[in-house]
Amino acid sequence: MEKESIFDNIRAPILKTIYRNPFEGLVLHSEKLEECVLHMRDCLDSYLKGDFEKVERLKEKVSKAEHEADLIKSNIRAHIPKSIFMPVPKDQFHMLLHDSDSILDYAEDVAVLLTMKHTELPEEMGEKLHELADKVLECVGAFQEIMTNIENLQEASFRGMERNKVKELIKKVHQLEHEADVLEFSISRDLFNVDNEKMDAISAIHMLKVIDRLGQVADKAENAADRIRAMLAK
Amino acid sequence: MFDMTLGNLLILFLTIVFGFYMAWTIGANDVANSMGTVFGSRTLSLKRIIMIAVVFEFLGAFLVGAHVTKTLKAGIVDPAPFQDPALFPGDQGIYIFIAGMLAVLLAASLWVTLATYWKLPISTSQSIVGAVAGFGIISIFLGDIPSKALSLGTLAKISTGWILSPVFGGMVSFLIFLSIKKMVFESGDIESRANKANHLFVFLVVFILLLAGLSGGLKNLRSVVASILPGTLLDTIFDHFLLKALVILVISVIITFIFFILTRNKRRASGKARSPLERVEGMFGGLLVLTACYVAFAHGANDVANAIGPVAGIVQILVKGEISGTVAVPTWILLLGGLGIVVGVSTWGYRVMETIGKRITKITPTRGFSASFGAASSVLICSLLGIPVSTSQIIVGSVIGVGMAGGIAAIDLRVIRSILVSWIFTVPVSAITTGLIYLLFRAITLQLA
Repeated sequence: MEKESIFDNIRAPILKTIYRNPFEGLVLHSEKLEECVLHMRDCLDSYLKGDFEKVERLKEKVSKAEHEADLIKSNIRAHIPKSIFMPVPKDQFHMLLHDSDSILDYAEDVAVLLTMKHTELPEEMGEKLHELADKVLECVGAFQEIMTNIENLQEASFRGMERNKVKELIKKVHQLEHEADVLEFSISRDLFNVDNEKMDAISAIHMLKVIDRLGQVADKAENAADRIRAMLAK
Repeated sequence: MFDMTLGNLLILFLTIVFGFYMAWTIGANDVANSMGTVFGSRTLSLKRIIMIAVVFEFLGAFLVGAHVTKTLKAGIVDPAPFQDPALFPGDQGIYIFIAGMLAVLLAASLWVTLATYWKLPISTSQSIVGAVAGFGIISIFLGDIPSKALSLGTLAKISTGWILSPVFGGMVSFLIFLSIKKMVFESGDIESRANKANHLFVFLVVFILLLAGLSGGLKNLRSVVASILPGTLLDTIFDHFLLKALVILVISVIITFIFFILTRNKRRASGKARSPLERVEGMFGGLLVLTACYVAFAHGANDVANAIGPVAGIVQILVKGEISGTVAVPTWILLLGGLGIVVGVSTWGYRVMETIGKRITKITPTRGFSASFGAASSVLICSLLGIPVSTSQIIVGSVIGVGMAGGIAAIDLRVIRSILVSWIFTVPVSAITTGLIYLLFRAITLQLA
């Protein structure tokens, strides 16, 4: 705490009027999001390589990023009292924050699931899983790009060039989510029809859960992007 | 004329000290509000902001300031009964009136100081109005003056001004930001649009500033210019509205032109900014500085009256030996008020701004300009109408206006409540304080007279 001086006793209602910018908080939150999904991907890589010790370590990193993002989220929410007026409806802002935060929840789920069981995957399935993870990360990356520049969007009053840029990125998120879905279905099909010699049923169920959660990460990114789309509505 | 007796000199001395103190308080407290948007945009360094504030506060106080003075001194309380021989024998009434004016100054200053200590966002204008009203009420209560001497109509006009001025400032700022949004942000090529909008707004600011200055105040300037230029030419220009408007129009265009030549290099340099959005905001930086001058000017014009109104009243009595309804404020008193504000700005005002700097949330130049422009327009109009208003409250109204137009990421509407509370408390508190101080002063005066 800084020592209070007489100069703090100022009658400056303007200070109270211009409230702290909640969009700044969103940028901080999205930095944690990036950190979290990158660790999740590394975690999956290590898993596929069979380095389970590293999987444990990376899972801790994923959980840590998720927890830190939670703190940022609570902090943003705590600082939007009822009396605040924002350029976008407040519930839209809260829902964006909520959906953005659930991306991290699912990323954490993936990492946690990976620490639960050491499943050996058939090689071609491992490659598909890599491909799926890349797609999901690309999808989250596109969403994350919107979030990093969301202050610009606000500064441009949600209009003009910045708006068009964001609309393009939202389209990209949708496209990538769809591609991730296709991959997810394909791996699911493989897993349901896997040869018992190659993989036992429990392992297949485990993997099905993992790819389900991985798909959810992209799903949630899409939901969150749609919240931003709602903010752009004129 | 009154003799320069020891008593009269003491009165004069106290008057000047209290008046200067009041002006100092205004400068120290209000600079944070009137320059807050500029500071929040980080366009100018603190030193430059203070320099602008000092120069333009002084010019505003000196050139336009005299208007409000009349209303405060003579509008709320009619001083005529105090020199009615039927009510007061000899000079008694006049001395009692002086005691009243001194009580007004002292009570208002005390309340402002206490409010600062307690962190209450009160307004110096309201404090003074409450004090004058308090003086009127207690005089009626004591049977000194008839109840019709307190003009409820003037009080009602002033109170309406308090409510309307932030709303008006808010509406202007709302419209300005909305037009920036439509003209600039919504277009495909925001940079060239921003450049065009800039020309328009610079012209608008200069035009309004000159119009306000020339139609209302500037009487002091006129007397100065008249000694240089031939009188008839000057009178023709000053007395014909259309001609005046035309002259102002031409001058505005010239100033706008000069402004763009002077800032050309700066705008070229801002071409290094990373994104078009940043370059647009950079372009509005110069405009924001111009508007900051406008705000300081309007603030000086409006607020100097709070301090010098009672001073002018007392000095006039001491010089002429009689109380009259309206009075031309002597130049040296305007100078005193202007200097008081300037000293306040550059001493405590400076430190207050430093403190604020650590806490104020960044707002971009386009927002800062919209808010300042609306606020300054509202303050200046109220000055010309002779309504003492609170610059702080108007700037809050203007910031809310920009927020309502979707310009600011988050504005806290709770501040409206604190303004309402200040409306409710300031007037009665400073009225009661004035009443008590006045009772004391009156007793002393009656003993001496």
